[in-house]
Amino acid sequence: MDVINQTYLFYGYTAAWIIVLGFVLILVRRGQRIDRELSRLKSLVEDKESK
Amino acid sequence: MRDKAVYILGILGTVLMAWNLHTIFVGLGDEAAQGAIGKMLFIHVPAAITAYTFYAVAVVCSVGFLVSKDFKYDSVAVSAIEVAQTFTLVNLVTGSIWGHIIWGIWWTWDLRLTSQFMCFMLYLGYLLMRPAIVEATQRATMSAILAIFAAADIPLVVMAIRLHNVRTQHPAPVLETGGVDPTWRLPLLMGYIVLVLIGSALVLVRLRQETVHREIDSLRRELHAI
Amino acid sequence: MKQGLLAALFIARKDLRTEFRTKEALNASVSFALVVLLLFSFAFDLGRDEFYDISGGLLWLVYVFAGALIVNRSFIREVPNDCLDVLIASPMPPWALFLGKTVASFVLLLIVELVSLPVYGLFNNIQWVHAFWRLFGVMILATWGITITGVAFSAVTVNVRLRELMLPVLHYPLLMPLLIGAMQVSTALIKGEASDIGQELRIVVVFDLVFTSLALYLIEFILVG
Repeated sequence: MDVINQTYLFYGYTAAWIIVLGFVLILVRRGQRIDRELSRLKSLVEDKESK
Repeated sequence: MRDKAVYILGILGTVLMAWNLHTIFVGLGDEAAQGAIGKMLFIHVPAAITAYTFYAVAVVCSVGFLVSKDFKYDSVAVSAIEVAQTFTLVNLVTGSIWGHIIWGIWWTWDLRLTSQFMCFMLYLGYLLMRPAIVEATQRATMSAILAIFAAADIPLVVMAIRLHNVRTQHPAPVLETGGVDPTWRLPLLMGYIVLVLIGSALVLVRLRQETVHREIDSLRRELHAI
Repeated sequence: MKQGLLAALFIARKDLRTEFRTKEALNASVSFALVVLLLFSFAFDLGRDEFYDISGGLLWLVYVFAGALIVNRSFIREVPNDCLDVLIASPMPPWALFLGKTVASFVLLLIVELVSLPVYGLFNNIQWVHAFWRLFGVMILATWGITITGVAFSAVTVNVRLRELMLPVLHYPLLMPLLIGAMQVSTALIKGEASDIGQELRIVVVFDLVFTSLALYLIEFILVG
């Protein structure tokens, strides 16, 4: 009984951290994507301005 | 400067979290009635309160945007709501796991679970609506309106469900009846502080992304103009 | 203030007159209500007594789904030909425009509800006549809540992509307290046990007051920006 209890306690905390880490990963991926987009647009603007 | 703030908040949060977890698992004994699973409280409750804190920040910033039309307020609002949604999800999932052990069911439509779920749904609508509005000022205005409407609805939701004759299985609010072991109070408070620190770090990261997003929008307009 | 109310009345009459000429929204809404009633008859297979327990709940589900069709159209019908811009640019205060459209949607939805009620009673063998006037009172209160929030969201989603999808997603969660109250009261009235519904009724009234004032105050930001 106590073992089941502790197992689920572990599951609970793990689930909590997976959710938070999942959000962090989403933020990181989104951040990389918009950084790439930003550098792409910046180079495009520079190209057009130099022409 | 902002990156440094993120690091400081993140490291401080992690250190305090490690200390708190040590206190919870090594320092405290198991709860008498519930056994080991009672310690789920230390993540379940602080997650909810942290979520409410960030929702409150978002609503205040939404009002701030409507009053000042400054996009900074809009950026903080959306970042705070995303973080708050994450913590609400943590609250729902940990609560469900706890309920599975204590009451034998994964879910029930009692006051707290239902109102938390409603809160999640209301602000999920906010997050779903934002990408669907292309123009930035309109997006910010409508989001602000939605955040305010949702916040006004929450007390009504709580009132309504309290009246609704549902099978009330949620244990009497432990914190309100003061039935928490005094030795548990500090770890609970510390848990809240830890989550607020981590949440604030995430808000700052998200905030930077909003700024980059606006820069992208202005570059696109410039590109169009050239 | 008086000018504003007159303007609101004018807008309400305009919307109602347009709708009664074609009756397209009314017809579509009533048909949809009937379809939903039909679907419910397949979905549930309850005994008479058990059905009375969910009677109020089902009734308001039908009303809310049918109401979405009516409420969605209120601001969106002004989008073609820039009618909405003209209305906003006119000297009429934004709250008057909003109030007028809300009143028009309110009347239309009430008509749909009154038409669906006998059909609902017929299909499900529910006796409602004994409680009609009190039920009508609840219908008025709750329908006002549905229309005032729905028309406000209709204004919000005018420039939103996928607006037909967005409006229910945004609107229905918000309506939850109102619906809980209305459903409880309606069930109690239909079952004849209307002794202690005061609390639930109070929620409906509070919802109406809170969101009417909030919507009227914020509509200027929504329409004008």
